[in-house]
Amino acid sequence: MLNTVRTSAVRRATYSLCQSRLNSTVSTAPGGDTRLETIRRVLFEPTRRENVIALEGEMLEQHETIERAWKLHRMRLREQRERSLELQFRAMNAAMNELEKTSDKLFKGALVKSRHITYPKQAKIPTETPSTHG
Amino acid sequence: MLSNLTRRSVQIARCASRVNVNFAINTSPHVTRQASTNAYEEALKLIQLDKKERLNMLSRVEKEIARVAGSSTPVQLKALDALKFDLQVKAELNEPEVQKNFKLGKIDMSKPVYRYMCQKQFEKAPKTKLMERLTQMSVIPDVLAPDMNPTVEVSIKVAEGQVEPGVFLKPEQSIELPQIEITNFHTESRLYTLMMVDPDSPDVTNKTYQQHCHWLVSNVSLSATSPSVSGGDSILEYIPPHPQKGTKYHRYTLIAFEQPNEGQEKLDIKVESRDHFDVKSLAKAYNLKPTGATFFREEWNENVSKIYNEIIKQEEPIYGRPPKVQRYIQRTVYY
Repeated sequence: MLNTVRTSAVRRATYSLCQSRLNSTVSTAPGGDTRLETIRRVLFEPTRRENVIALEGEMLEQHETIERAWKLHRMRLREQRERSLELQFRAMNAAMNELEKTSDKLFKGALVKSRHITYPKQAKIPTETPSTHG
Repeated sequence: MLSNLTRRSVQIARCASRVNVNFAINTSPHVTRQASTNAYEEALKLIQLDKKERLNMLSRVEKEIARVAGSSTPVQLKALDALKFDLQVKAELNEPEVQKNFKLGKIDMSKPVYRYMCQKQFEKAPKTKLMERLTQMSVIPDVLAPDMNPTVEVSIKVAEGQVEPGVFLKPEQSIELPQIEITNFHTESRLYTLMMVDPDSPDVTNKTYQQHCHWLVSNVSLSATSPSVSGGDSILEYIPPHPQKGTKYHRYTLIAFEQPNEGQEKLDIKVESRDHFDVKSLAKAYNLKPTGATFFREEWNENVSKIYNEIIKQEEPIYGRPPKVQRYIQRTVYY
């Protein structure tokens, strides 16, 4: 009995609180945004985006030429790198073929043991002074 | 020359040009021009350098082709020719003049660049639409094989304008044979066979539809520089499309076949009649390869009667549904 009285009282209290909050929404003063206005703005206002520049005529041609030249430049760099890599691979391939014919032990030693180990552990970083051990 | 063309400098130049355009339109135009022209000039220099290198390579390839002309296999020759074509195209493709000409429509099909660009454009835009329409309107399974891949563009022009594949035309618009232009991409002239077929011609005896051939010409020589259709041996004269009254719309398909042996063989096609036509068996018999197709649709209107009276000189058939047979209820008196 008491519980129900308390819950109904609580409900009435929150209801009146909401009413007072709603009534207190003042139309936008230059100083502040009231909470409801803010919520409405966040939900419904369309985002202001910068207009995409639409080029025309001579500027468009220049833009397209520049784009093409940039892509061409990157393609040339890429192909240069790929060619040098291919030459390196061919040289290595030819050398390994010769080694296979020459010496079996050396050939096995030259083969890659593990594909996960790609850097030598013994490699030393450059230091400012020579080593104390010699 | 290439060293100052780093990514950052190009970005700065282009950003600067954009910012300048936005708020410096009333200030000196000299400032606006500077930043973008630097990048543009560098771009032009790179394009020219690349072109020079490719032309050098091209001259070497041409010498190689001349040297190996007799002694190498056709596969090797084909590979060398493909390489030569590729170099010729790529040398000119990046030039701003070529791009501008293509956009304006000043296309010279004798140059490999324009042929390449036309082909790329065809593959992208009109071909996909054509294939969509052909499949949607069931022209592909009915008249053409499902694995057909159009390599040339067949464009029909009526007095009113260009005919898109699948549009409805009026019978009076197609009384005269329309202007046909076949955009192809080979410099040498090849022989083509063209035909117009109606797959929806009614066949009363079999209570089904049959293919009816409206037009058949063969040995039409076409090339990239001469794409318009003229001449050739006419095997069946052009009869204008006449969709009969009572039938639904008819699809009039125009097919371009390339004659065997890369269009070099001259053919002598013999056809018994226009009715009960079979495109697939004819193509198989003479070893024709369907390389291009298009179609339009027509429905009956009063001008079809005129076509029947004047041009075909036959009585116009009117089709309708057969009378419904009352099987279970047989009334002698209707009330």
